[in-house]
Amino acid sequence: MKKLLIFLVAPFLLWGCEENISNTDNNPETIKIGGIAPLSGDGATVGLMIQNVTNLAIETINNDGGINGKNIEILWEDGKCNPGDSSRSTQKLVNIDKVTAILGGVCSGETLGAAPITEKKKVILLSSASSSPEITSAGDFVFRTSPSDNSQGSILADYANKNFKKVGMITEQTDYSIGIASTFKEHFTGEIVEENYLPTESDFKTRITKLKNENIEGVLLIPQSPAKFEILIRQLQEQNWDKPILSNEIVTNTEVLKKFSDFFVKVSYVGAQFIVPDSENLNTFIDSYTTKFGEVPIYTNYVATTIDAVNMLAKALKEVESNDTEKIRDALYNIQNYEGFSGNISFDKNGDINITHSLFSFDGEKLVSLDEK
Amino acid sequence: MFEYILSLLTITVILVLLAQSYNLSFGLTGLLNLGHIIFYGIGAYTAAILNTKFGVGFFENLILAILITGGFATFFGLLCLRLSGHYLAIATLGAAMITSVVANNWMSLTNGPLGIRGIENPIVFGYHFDSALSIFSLYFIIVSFCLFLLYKIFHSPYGRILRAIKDDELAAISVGKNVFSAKIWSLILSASFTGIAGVLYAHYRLFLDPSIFALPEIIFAILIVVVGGRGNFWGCILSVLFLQFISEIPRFFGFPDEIVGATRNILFASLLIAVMFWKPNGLFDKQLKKTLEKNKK
Repeated sequence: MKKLLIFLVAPFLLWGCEENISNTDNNPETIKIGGIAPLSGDGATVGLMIQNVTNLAIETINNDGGINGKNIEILWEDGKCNPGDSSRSTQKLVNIDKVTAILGGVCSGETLGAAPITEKKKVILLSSASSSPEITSAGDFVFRTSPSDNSQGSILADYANKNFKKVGMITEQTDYSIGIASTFKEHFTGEIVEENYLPTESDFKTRITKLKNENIEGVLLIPQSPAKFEILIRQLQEQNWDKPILSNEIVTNTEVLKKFSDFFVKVSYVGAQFIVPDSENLNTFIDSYTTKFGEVPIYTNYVATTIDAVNMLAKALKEVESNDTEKIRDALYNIQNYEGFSGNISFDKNGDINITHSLFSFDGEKLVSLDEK
Repeated sequence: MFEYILSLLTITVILVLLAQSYNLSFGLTGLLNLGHIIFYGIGAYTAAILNTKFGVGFFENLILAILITGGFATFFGLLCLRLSGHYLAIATLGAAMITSVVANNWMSLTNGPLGIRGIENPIVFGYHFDSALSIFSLYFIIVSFCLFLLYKIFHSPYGRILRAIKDDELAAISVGKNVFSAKIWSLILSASFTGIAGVLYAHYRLFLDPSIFALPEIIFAILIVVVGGRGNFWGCILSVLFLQFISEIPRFFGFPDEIVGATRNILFASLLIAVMFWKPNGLFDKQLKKTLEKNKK
């Protein structure tokens, strides 16, 4: 009987599908774009934040009259932070929803999984958070508004070249961390003692002991998340670490650094940071975000790059006044010195943004730019 | 719409081959091998590396992948098949973890977590299979041929030995069958077909990273075989179709976006538990067919 019920229900399910598909037919009153982000799983903390920021930025544009009178409509798909799911989602967005552009992915794997499909279909793929160096050459229709990991790897290496002959390096095994590590290795001329760990690990005592015996002059930490950074620092502190510490941009939030103020002042800390200028517009946006979603967005810099991605796409769409993606692509390339939330920005010939990381030290209270010193 | 359906069908035929080859070792022979995804990954990586670094073509990749996965399966089998039951499950799961770590760390070969980009769509005799329909047709033909071979294996005297091993290994030994050799061959054949599925996957997705070895992929492969019924040839194919169907459905039902991904995982996990409890022989076992016939009457 139960099985019979399943067979009876199945056609209705199909019918429901059909209903929904027909709803997604091109509506001339709206401009349809897609969104891909990790909406479930480990990456969802960042993914959901970027989804909210994007939705809010689009809402603002629509309230201001939209794109030449048309509203932007965004359709979200869960990329689950991996290329396989992202590729399925892209197929759906491109072939069923017929979007002209996709905002995303967030994880580099998502963007790289989507790129072969969007390239073939000539759909704009604009990421505001993927940082893998591989994305630079992923295609002509691929853009991003966040800096590539190349920039942090190379400035950290420049700093290390000036100050150290032998450094230790503790890298988390994720595409993000390994991307930075490989650029650092390319540019650093001294000797490196490498230690890697899997994302599931949280005990680094043996690695730290090993590094202590290696006679290194400083250590570069490249974790994937602020949480891992904190664990690493706590264990370094427990083992009386006394050498300078370098790190990637993961700790823009000084709260984490402040927890270890005395320790950082003692050993000295230098981090490659990508910090967006503090502007009134950004603060207003963050306030409305906080009011709407009941929480403060955790990564201010990605809030800025995401708003910029939405606004730059909107600007290109306004100029082109059609769904011709080749024209939209050219319009994006032509945007020069755009006054965005993350600075004065333009895309280069690879679709990468012109903002880079810079070095900061920590004085126990706040981050101090090394360029200004 | 048409292209979307074709893209789903293409992935479905690849999964059918992956599942059916797993069905040979896990379903038919009863080897609780949790490391089957290794062969899929090795096949895919073989194609990705050879294609991007040495420009090796699609068909050559298929042959090389069969040889490499077959060779690896021999080694893997000689090591692991001395174990059985839970011990085999743990050892093979361990092997899957090791392969994943190797894929993540051997940067010069696999490009680690950054993945391999720029794999080409299949080119056969100068024809570039780059439209959705042409790739699907090519894959459909290849997979149908493999399924034909697998069907022959399932229904051959050798297939009956494998079934006997699953049902009662001791009895199979007592009638003079070389159980160890039969098991190793079942693993090698299963691995080679999986290697083909891996090559198809790499040349279709065009980007490959170590997430192919991840635990959810392993569980999905097991789910297909369990839902289809272990050792049930047609059940396994139906099971892939069924699972693909229910995994795409949440996309179209207006669920909040952040729930869709999770819904799929919950659906799959509950289905696995439910099937184990109430239908240990799979949703598509002969019992079901009988019941349906009864209902008709």
